[in-house]
Amino acid sequence: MIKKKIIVQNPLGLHARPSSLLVKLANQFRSDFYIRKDDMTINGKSIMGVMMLAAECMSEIELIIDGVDEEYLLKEVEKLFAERFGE
Amino acid sequence: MQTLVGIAVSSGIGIGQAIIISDKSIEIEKRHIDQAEIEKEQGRYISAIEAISKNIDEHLDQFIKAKEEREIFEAHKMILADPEIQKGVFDLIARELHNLEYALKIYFDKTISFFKEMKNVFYAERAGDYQDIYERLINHLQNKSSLIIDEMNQDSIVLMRDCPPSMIAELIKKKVQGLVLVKGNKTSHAVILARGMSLPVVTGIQFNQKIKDGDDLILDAEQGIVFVNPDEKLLNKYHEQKAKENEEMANLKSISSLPTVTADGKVIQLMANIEMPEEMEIVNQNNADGIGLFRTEFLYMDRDSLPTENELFEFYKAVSEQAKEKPVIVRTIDVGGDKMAKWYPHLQEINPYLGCRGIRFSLTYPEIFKTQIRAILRAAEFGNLQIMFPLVSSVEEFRKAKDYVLECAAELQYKQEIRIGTMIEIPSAALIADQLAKESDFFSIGTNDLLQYTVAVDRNNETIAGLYNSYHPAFLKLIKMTAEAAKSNNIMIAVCGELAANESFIGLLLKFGVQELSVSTHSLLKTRRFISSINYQKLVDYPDILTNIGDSGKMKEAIDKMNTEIIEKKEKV
Repeated sequence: MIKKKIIVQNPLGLHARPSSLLVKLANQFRSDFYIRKDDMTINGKSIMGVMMLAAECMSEIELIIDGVDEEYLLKEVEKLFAERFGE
Repeated sequence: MQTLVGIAVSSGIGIGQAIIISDKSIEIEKRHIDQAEIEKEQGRYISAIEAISKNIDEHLDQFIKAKEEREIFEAHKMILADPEIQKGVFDLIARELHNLEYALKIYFDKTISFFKEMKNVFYAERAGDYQDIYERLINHLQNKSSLIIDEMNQDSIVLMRDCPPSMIAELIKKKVQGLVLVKGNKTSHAVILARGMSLPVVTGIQFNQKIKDGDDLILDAEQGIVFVNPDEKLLNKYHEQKAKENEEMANLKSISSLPTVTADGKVIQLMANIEMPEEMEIVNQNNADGIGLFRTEFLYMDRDSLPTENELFEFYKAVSEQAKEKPVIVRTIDVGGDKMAKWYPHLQEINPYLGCRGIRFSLTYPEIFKTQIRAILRAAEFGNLQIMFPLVSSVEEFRKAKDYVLECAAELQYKQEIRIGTMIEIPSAALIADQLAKESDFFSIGTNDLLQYTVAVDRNNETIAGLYNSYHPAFLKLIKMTAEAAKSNNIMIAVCGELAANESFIGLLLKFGVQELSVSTHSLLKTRRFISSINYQKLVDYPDILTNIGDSGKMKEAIDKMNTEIIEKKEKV
């Protein structure tokens, strides 16, 4: 299991479009993928869950990934955040 | 007996029993299920989300929608496939032993209120997505509308809040008596279709708690009245009227496949005015000679973004293909600037009738115009499309607009000839018709606007509506001038306004030399029947009646007199 803290940097936060990109990506992997923000932990493969986080710009979230391809998933998710979801 | 008054939007009489299709007032049954049913209820969820996803896919494929709209549907598909939602719903079924519908209600109520309470508006708005999905799921599971449609028959009068256009075809199939709506007006999609199919419709009736399922109703869609549980006397009166109407319909139907000719054998082109592809079925059934006016405003109204070239293309192509080799005259955008104000706020005008509308709008916003022209040219490959510019007031405007067409044709490497015509609906255009005729391939007279601009009367202004008089000699002279200019330049001349279907004027228009009459789909057969009673030769030989008459009353007398002499009293066709 990997845990990694990350800061949301795209200007509008994890709104509809970035959320759907993130969920689509996560669903291509076998590992379980959870995201924690404050005291809320949600399934990162659920669009509803990610939207419920309402993670705005500059908020800190924690990625919790567990499974056979956890390293690859982390790498791809980090890339997506680093690119600010192409915004 | 109770009387409810609304607005008649599609004429006719209906007599029958009320069937109410309620919407949104979704009633959810709460049921405790057995352990043995858990799997079945969960299975229903899976098949429901699969069916809805498939439905969305088909919808997306069928209509190439604006990007924004596409994203909404994509988002809906992701919600349907959401593993957390499935887990939550499955838990409610397995642990609490709720039936699926009730489990969905609990789950989605909670989700929707969670989003609604979010501080950030951006996220709070997402509640709408979940509400939509919830309603889709419940509608699918209850299969409500299709159940009610099964109950309908030829004695039903259907009542609903708002009618989706797709429903009209179902109602016609079931041969229902009529439709009563809370919402909608003459220009809504469903109403236009209903009119084409002669389904009586009255809107603006708040029937909640006033009418219940099974009530006896009379729907008078001539006057816009619904009678609830009427007495015998009234019923008899309407049965009589209805019988007459049925006879008339049957009579008209018998000429639906005939050509349009006068009593002495002169062929007249009878065309249809339409707004959308769905009307082509009725056009073809009634053997119209083509589309004399294809209004293209429909895709620009009531939406948040302008239609894309592809969307327009698909729309025009659908009409073009169904018309086969018959001509389809596409009128370019004819919205007033006031209606486009959503996108161009500075177009809020004090006097929109004299403002940036018709071809002026297109020339002011060439990017919008060119998108439409490109779509028309692309669709023209599939049939016989022709282009017509509305509200032309000068030769320069016509030339400028035509140049844009040629520019688009060059960009698209469109090689075929495309016919380009002028709509004559401003007196200035009628007065220079001889010059416009040299550059246009055809004319079509829009009589409603031509009269309004000639006599300077807004016919919706009740105080002066009486002055909006089609017998005004000045107005008729302008039509005559236009027709003569067309004739001497050897171009086609049509009339596509309301006058084309007005039996008092059809003879006069033909006498002027008008070759084509374009009327609304529900007037096609009546107009054909009337034309078949005219003796064309007598009409041509009849002396000119426009000279020496200055007042409308005298003009009416002269036209009425002419009509009695040129119409042959003969047995019914």
